Amino acid sequence: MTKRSKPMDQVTLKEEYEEIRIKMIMSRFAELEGKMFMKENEELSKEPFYHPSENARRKFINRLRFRLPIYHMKKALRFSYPRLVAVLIFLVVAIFTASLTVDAVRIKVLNLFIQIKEEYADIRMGQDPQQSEDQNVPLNGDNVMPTEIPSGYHLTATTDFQNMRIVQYENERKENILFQSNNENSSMSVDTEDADEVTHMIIQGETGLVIRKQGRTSVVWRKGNQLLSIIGSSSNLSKEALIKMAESVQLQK
Amino acid sequence: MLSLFLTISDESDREFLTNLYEQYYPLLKYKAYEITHDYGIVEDLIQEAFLKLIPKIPLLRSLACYKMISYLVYTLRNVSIDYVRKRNRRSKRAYASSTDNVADQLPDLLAATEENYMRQERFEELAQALLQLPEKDRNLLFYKYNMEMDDREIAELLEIPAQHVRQYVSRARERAFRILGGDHRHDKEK
Repeated sequence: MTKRSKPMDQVTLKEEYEEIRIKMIMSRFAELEGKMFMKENEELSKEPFYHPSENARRKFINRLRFRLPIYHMKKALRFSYPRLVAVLIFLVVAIFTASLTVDAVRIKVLNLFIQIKEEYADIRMGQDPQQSEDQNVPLNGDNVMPTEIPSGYHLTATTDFQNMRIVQYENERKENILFQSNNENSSMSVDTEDADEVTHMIIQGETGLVIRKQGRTSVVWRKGNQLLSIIGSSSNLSKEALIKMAESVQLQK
Repeated sequence: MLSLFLTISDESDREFLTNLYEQYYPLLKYKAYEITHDYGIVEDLIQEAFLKLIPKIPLLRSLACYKMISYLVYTLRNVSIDYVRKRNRRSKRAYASSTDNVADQLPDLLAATEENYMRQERFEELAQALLQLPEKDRNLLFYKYNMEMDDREIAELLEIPAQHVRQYVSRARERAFRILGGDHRHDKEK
């Protein structure tokens, strides 16, 4: 019951009294009218003309069969839907907040992508999640660079990104070699699908991979906390020359 | 579990409405024809009225028998009046587009409907007194107090502005009290 500001106010009380009185009168009226309707219905029921046909009855039941479940479903959803939405919003916010703020979660998500990638014949030398403590290798300070470059090639460009450095070498025929160093928080993908050759070997004392595909040779290996790769785009470049180049990679002060 | 509950509810409600449909079909057919004068549409209107009653099933179940019949009849009246009103508008539009002279000669179906309402049976005591009320007042009070419609619903049904519904109800109530013995006026004079 609502609380009135003037509980003893004559006008308000009279208004309420009238409201209750008319409600009682109308309720009584409905009853009396209903009684008359009932008598009328009994009289009309004696005439077959006023009965529903079998076809109409069937149609009515079919309509009810269609509409009642919709009504009950809506009614049921009316209560659960807001809760469902609230839970979903909470989950989405929680997952995204965690993935943006917690390093461990970020690595988990990254690993998930790696697994999916592997199914599509991509090799990705991701980091071991167990060793993920603060591995942000500065690329703008001490860098690793190859010291032995295949003959005819010279350095043409060096591009630094936040977690990656790409060094480009080129010869007179505009054929190039790319040396790429990534810190371990990033990753590297090497396409091995339909490759002519995929060889596992030890490079600089670590596990490495040599891939030859469509005249292009790639050498990928790990050095300390970094992932390194050398990609030669010319078919004239021998695998041995690129492995030699890889073995020559040293820390530059 | 939820689907089982929904199935049980469906079956129970379907049985309830089907029983009402079969039991009161003669009266409803008669009442719908009183308003529409068209047996061709009566069946559809009765079914439409029952579909509108689906959300009111719990209320209907709680009503005593006589009150429930009144509720059924008034719901059917609403649906029928709404149909006549739309039919009337369509006819007016159709004729207006052909020739104005023909449109002028059209009978006002809605007005005819209201006139028919006035030819009601005589009820005893209170009911008789309330029947002296204009049909619009009686319907208004029935919708407000027996069907518990809100102002917006009443406004749509009676084609009056929603903000004036309260005022209309208040006036209808005044007139009802006046007819029901004049004691209200007596109260006021006091």
